[in-house]
Amino acid sequence: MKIKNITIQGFRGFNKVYTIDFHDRLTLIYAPNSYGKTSISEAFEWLLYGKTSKVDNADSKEEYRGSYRNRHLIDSLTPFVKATFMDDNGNETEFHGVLTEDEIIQRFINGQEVESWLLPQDISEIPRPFILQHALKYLLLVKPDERFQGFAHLLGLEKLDIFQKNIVSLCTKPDACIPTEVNQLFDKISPLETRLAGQSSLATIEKAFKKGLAGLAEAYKAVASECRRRVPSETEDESILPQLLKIRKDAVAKIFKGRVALQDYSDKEKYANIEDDKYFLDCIADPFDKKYTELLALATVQYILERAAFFDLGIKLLDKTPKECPFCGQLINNVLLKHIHDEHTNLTDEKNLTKELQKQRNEIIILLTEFKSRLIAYQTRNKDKSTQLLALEPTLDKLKTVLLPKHQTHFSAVETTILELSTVRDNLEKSYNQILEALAKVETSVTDSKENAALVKVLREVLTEYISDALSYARFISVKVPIMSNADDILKHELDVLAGTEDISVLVDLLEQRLDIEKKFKIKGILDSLKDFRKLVDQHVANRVLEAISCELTSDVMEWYRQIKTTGDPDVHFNGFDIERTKKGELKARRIQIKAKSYGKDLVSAVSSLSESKLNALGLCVSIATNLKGQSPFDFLIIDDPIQSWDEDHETRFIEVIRKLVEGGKQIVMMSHNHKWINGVRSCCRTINGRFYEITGYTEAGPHIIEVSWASWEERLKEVDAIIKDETATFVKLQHAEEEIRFVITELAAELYFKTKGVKKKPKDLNLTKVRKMLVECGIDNSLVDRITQTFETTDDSHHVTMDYAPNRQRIQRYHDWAHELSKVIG
Amino acid sequence: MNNKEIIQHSSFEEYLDELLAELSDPVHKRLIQAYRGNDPVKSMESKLGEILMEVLNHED
Repeated sequence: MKIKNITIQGFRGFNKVYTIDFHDRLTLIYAPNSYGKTSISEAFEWLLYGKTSKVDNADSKEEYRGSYRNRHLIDSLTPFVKATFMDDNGNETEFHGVLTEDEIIQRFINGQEVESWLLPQDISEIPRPFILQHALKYLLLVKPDERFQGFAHLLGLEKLDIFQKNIVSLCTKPDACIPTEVNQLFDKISPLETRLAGQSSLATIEKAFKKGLAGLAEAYKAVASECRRRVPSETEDESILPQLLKIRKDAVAKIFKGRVALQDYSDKEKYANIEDDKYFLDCIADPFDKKYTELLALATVQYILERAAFFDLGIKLLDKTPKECPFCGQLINNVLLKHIHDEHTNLTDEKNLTKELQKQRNEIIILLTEFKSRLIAYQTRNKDKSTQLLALEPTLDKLKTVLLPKHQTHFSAVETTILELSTVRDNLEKSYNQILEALAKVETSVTDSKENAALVKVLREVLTEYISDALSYARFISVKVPIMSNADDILKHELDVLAGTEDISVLVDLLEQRLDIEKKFKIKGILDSLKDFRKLVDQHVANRVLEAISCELTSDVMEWYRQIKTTGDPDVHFNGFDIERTKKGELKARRIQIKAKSYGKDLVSAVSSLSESKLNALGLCVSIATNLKGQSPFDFLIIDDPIQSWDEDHETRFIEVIRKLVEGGKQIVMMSHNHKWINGVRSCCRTINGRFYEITGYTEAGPHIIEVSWASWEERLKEVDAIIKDETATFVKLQHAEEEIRFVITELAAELYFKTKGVKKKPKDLNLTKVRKMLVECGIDNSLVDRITQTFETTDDSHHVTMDYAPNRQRIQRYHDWAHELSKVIG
Repeated sequence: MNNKEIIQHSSFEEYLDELLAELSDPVHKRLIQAYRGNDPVKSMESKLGEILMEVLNHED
């Protein structure tokens, strides 16, 4: 894609909105320093990449904060950069970037918002189509390792560079990725490995273990052999472990019986406790309270029930003697009889309501029974955790003789834990008994139909206290488990020393922990393999970067450098890149040295030996070579102020480089502060017919840009004359001559119209119809108007030649004469 | 340019494919696979942790 135009508002040096049109081959922009030409290249960079390399490379990004927005842009306007790009088929696409308040680019393609530019390639992976002076310095005048980064950036290999750094970081420091559970496994197995190393009789096993996962089978073969040596010969294979355990237990029991055992809650037990806590609290919450309180009503309706029973009997008897009272025999009138029946109906309704409460009472009894059952299970589950350790209390004196004086700390820990645990468990037991008592009272009140709201209140209070005690107890156990486990290990070890069973103890642990040992070796194997992984990635990345930098790029850079170098230069030159150390692959070894030669001899360093102008030339060549390398959607190259510290010879040589790039198909946009040189570029590339702008001033409104004619019509006519006279002129040259005449005609017509009518017309916008109309309006003789308009007969309105076009020397001569005739009219 | 027809091509993705083809260790392959995506470092670190946990939780 090539650039058709760019419109800038409020970005960097541009304040008021301004559009610059670009030639599809060569556009030159001249401006003295600080007139805003770099703002044009920065606008392109920002539009494509969302940031400029100047800001990107800055040590302090803070200093550049807010620098994209032009300070003079009025507050109500938003800075933007908009560019129209054309593909090979002439299709146009508008990229529109809006600078948001938080300095982020908001992208639009043809008016539709997009997250990124929809291009065939990821543009972060391809060389940027810019050659910028500050970037060249960053590339060359830095340390060799930083230069490697610069080349990676220039070649679009940044992702690769970052990838390698990330892999190195992961492989050298994987600790942060290792889950706690894995570290716990390592902590569990490590002491066993230390104990194994201390057993000379088990050296064969240790030797095999040192081989890692590969030696595991061999190690366990040795374990089996050592185990068998320590049990009676007739022992069956499956009985070896129990036999070893028995041997050890018997030997140790002669010294001390018991273990410092405090077992932590399993996940299942923790889950069960959480569920129970919730159940208990939910159970004695509002619904229970409400239901229980409702039962209180049962007591008050007892009297009603008795009356209802009495009325039932009375009504039954009245059926036989409806006119007299069945109890006293007095006469009953109709009013009284109706009253008796109504009262009976009311009492029957109330009795039915009471039945519902009776059902509720049964449900509460079932609920309380279940509650009690879960409570007992809960208490047993918790209490069991401390039973074994508390059972050690009577033997503390004996334990002291085993552990002291060597393990005073551990003994004290055990002693203190037992003491504190007794207190915590007593609290639990006490609140448990309280809750049992409260529960029994509630149960009795229900079964005796003597409900009392105060009883439920007490139950709720003691339950809250009990759960609080249970939680404290569980927390205490969890905190003390690792401490007691350490003490137990110490005790076990000391007992093994005293009983002479250290080797058996190690063998038992090796057998019992085989699965964990195997897992540890597997995990260690994975972590160890990261070193190889890193090496492989290092080498792979290095190869890829070397592939990009070495042979092809070096020869391309050399080729461009040769084109800039002049014959008068002292023979002190760039001589390729030294990337030998990078071949090793390691991240820290990655560096690019620039080689130089002085009259056939290698110099220590090009950076210290080459002049600034040569380094500048080299930087340009590296940028050009990388830009031409590989696939890129960009068919343009923006070159900002390339001429620095060069003599005239080098400047002229570089113009040829520009021409070659244009002829190679690149659209070049070049900016320079050097007026003489850029005019030289225009002159040397005259036949390319580019566009030329001059920035003639700078105010707070932005740069003042004018377009200057690429060539005068006199120059063009002289060139046409020379082509016509050249008998060897090719088809292409003759066609070029014919096009040049039309350029002359449009320029003459515009000039004449301005002189006659005072109205300015752009020559590039004129075609046959417009030229004819303008000439007629200016009073040109009809015969000359007819002839002049004939010069357009081989083109269409867009200045493209017709399908059947063929250059004709005589026709071109006629066109040339008519153009001359028109120029004479202008005078 | 027809915006809808454009499929972005990433040479870095291709590079990862090439690297994957050269790796023989399945653990290393999985780490590279995890590198793809929006947060490659975090994803790769999580994957390593996940692989280690798989070994730890394997009951055979």
